[in-house]
Amino acid sequence: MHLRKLWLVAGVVLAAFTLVATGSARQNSSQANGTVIFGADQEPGILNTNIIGGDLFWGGQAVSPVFATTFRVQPNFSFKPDVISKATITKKPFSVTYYIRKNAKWNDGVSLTAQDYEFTRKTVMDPNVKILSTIGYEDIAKTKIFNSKKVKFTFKKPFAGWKTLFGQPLPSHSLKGEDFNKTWLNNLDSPKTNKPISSGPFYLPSDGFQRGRQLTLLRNPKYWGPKAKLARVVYRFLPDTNTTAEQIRGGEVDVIYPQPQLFLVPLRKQSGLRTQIGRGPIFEHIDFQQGFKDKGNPLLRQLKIRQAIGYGINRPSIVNALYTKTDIAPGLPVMNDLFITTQSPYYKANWAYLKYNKAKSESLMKSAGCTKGGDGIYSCGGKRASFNFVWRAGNQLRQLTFEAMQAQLKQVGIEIKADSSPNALSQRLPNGDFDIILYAWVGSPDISGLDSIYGCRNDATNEAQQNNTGHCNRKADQLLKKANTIFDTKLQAKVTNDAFALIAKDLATIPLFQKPTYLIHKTKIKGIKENPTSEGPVWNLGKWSV
Amino acid sequence: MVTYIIRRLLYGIPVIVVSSFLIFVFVSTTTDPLETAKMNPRGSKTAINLVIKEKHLDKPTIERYGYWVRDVFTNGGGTTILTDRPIFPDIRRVLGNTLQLVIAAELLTLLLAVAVGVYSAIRQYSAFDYSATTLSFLGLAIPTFWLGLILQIIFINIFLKWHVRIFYTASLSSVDPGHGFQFFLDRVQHLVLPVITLAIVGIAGYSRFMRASMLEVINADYVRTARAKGLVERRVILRHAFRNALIPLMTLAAIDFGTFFGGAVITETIFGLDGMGLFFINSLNNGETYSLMAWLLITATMVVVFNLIADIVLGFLDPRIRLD
Repeated sequence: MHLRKLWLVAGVVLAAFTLVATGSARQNSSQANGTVIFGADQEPGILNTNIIGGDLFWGGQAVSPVFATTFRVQPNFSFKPDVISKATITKKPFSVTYYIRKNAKWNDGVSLTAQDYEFTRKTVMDPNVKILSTIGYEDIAKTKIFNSKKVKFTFKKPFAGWKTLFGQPLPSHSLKGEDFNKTWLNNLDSPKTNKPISSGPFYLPSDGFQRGRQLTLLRNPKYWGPKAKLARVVYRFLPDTNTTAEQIRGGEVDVIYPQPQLFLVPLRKQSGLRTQIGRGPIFEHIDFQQGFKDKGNPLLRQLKIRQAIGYGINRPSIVNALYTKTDIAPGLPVMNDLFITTQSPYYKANWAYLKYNKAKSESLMKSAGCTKGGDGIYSCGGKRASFNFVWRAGNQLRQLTFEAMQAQLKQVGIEIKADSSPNALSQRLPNGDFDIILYAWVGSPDISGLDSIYGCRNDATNEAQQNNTGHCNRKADQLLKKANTIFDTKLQAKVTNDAFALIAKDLATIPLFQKPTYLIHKTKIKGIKENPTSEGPVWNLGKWSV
Repeated sequence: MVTYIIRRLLYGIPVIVVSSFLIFVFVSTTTDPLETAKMNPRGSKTAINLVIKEKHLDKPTIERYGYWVRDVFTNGGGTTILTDRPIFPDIRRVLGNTLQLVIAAELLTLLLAVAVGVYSAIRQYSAFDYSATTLSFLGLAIPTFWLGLILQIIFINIFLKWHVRIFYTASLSSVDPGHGFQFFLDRVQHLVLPVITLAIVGIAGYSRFMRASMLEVINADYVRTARAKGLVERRVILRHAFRNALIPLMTLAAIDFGTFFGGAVITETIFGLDGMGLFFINSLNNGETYSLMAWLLITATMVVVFNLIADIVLGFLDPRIRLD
C-alpha cells in the first residue's frame, strides 16, 4: 500500500511536469508573438550609457534601440543620418549645422529639437557629470539655434570626428535640473513623470529591467520613424558561454553574440540556426617597450632587435592555428594596419612587409652584435635576448598566442617569458611595466584622435597620454595630428596610413588579427545582419521580424 | 550557555575583521574598476578623477578600508564604485535566490544521503552497499561544471527529440513565468537541474559520512543491549541507532549550511542563477571591492554563526557535551 502511494505521488508529479513542459514549449515559441530573446553574456550595471559604469557592451545593445542617434554606423563603415535629415559643415571656422527631422519626437509627444542638442552638449561638458568622453564637445565654442529643428555648433578648431558627436541626443524636457549621474541607473524613465522616455523604435517599460534576470524592450508605438516589426525584445543575462550555446541549441533563446570559441563551431551546422561570422572592431596587437619611464629591456630600443622579433613571428601561422584549423573562423586574415580594419575601403597593409623569415631574423640579431649562447638564445653586449611578455591573466586566446610566439621565437634564438597578471592593463600598461605586451584596441570608423596613442608623448602638454611605449616618430606624430583636422574621410585615411607606414617601419607595435564575431540566430528571424563596427548586432533591430 | 554564545560571537569579530581586511587589500591592489575607462583613448580624465575622488581610490588602502567600515555602519554597505548604486538591495536579492537553491539542494541531499547511508550500513557488504560506495566515489569525483553541462545537454536533447521541455537549462524563471502555481512550477523547472548538480556531490559525501556513523553506532554496546532485550530490529535501528548516528551529520550539515550563504559559484555561473556565487564572481571581475566586501561580510558572518549553531545543536542532541 505504501509503495502504491509512492507511485501515485510520482505519477502525479510527472504528469504535472509534462503538462507544464508542453505548456512551456508552446510559450517558449517566441516567434509566435513577435518576441526575440537575446542571450546576453553580461548584465548592464546601469542604463545611462553616457557615464562611467554604463559602458558595458550589452548595456549599449539594450539602450541603443531606445534612443535615436544622429548618425548610425552602417556595416560598410559609412555614417547614415538617423534623427537628422542632413548635416552641413563649414571649414573656416569649423562648424556643423544639424537639420533635425521635422517628425522626430519623443514618445511622450514632445518634439525632438535643437534645444535637446544644446542640452546634450551642456550635459556632456558639465564638470560634475561623470561623462565617458568629452572629445569633440570640448572644442565647441558657440551654439546657434536657428529654430527648433536647426542648430549650428561652431568649433574652436577643426574636429574630423564630428560624425561621432551627439550619439544620443538627450531629452531636455525630461532631464533639465536633474543630476545626470543619478539618472537612468535602473530604468529609462523621465525623472519628471516617472514614465519611460524614448526616441527610438523601442522603449523600456519602467519595470523592464529585472536585475539578475532580464531586460525587456517593447515596440514604441509613437516612434516617429518606421515602426519596429517586433513587438518585444528580451535580453536574458547568461554569464556562461557554454550555457548560452546550449540555450540557443535548445531554443530557449533566439539570438546570441558570444566570443567565438571552439564549442560554438557545431552550432554552425545545426538546422534552424544560422551563424554570421564577422571580422569585429577589436584587434589584437603587441607593443614593444622602448623606454617609457625608463622601463623595459633596453635591447628593445634597438630597431634591429624589434625587427628580429617581427620577422621571427609567423603571424599567418598563429591566426591559422587559432581560427582556421579549429574551424572557428576559417580564412581570418592577418591584420596589417591599425584601427582601420581589414574590411574598410581605406585599409592599407602597412605591416605586410613583415613576413616570417627565420634567416633574416637571425641575421638581424647578428648584425645587432648579438651572439648565440649555448642554450640557443642570443646575448647582445652581455645582455640576454630574453623578454617578459605581458598579457592580462585569464585570457585563453592570449595564452595560446603567447605559446605560439614563444615557440617560434625560440627557433630564432629569442626568449619570451610568460608574465601574465590580472593588473596587466590597469597598472602595468599605464606604467610601462613590460617588455612586450599583448592586448587589444577597438577600431572605429572614426580614425581621428589616434595621436593620443601613436603620437609623441608629452606629459607637460597632455599629448599622447595613451602612448606607454616611449616610441616617438616626429613625422608620424605630425601626420596623425594633421589627420585630426581633415574632413575628407578618404584623405584623412591616407594621411593616417602614411603615419602608420612610418610606425610600421619603426616596429613600435605589431598588429595581429581582428577578433572574429559570431552572430548566431534562428533562421526564422529575418532582417538580422552582422555589423562589424561597434554598433553591434542591434544596429537595425527595428527591421527584424519573425 | 548564554555566556558561551556571547563568547563565541565575540571570538567571531576578529575573524571577520582580519578576513575582511585581507580580502580588501588583495582585491584593491590587484584590480581596478576604472580599467576600461582608463583604456579608452577618448576617455574623459575629468570623469575618472571624479570617481577616484568620490570613492577615495587615491587614498592608501588602509584608509580606504576605514571608509568601507564607516559605510557598513552608516550607509548600509555603501555603493558600488563604478555605478554608484546601493549594494545592499543587490545582496538581498541574490541572497534570496541562493537560499532557494541551497535549501532545496541541502534538503534533497540530506534526505537521500541519510537513506542511502543508513541502508548501506545495515546491509553492509551487500550489492546495494557496494553500488552505493562506487556511485558515491563517482559523485565525489565528477567536476560540478561538467555535471551541470551534461545535465543541460541531456535535457536539451530530450527537448529537441520529443519537443517536451521537462526542465529549463538556465536562469531562475522563464521570460513570462506566470503567476501563482504556474510561477511556482516554472521556478521548480528552472531549479531542478542546478539542485541535482549540487545534490549529487553532497549526497556522495554525506552518504559516506552517514554510513560510517551508522556502522559505528550499530556495533555499539547499547544497541546490542537493545537487541538482547528483544526489541524488533526496526525499532532498534530507528529508535536507538539512527538517532545517535544522525548527530555528527547534523553538525556537519549545519556548518556546511553557513558556507552555502556564499553561494555555489560554479553551479550558479553555469545555470545563470542570480545568486551569491555569481555576485561574487562578477564583483571580482569588475574590481568592485565594496560589493565583494559586502559579500564577504555576509558569508563570514554566516560561517561564524552556523559554526556556533552547529555546536549548540550538538550540545542539545548529545547530553554528554557541555557548552560552557
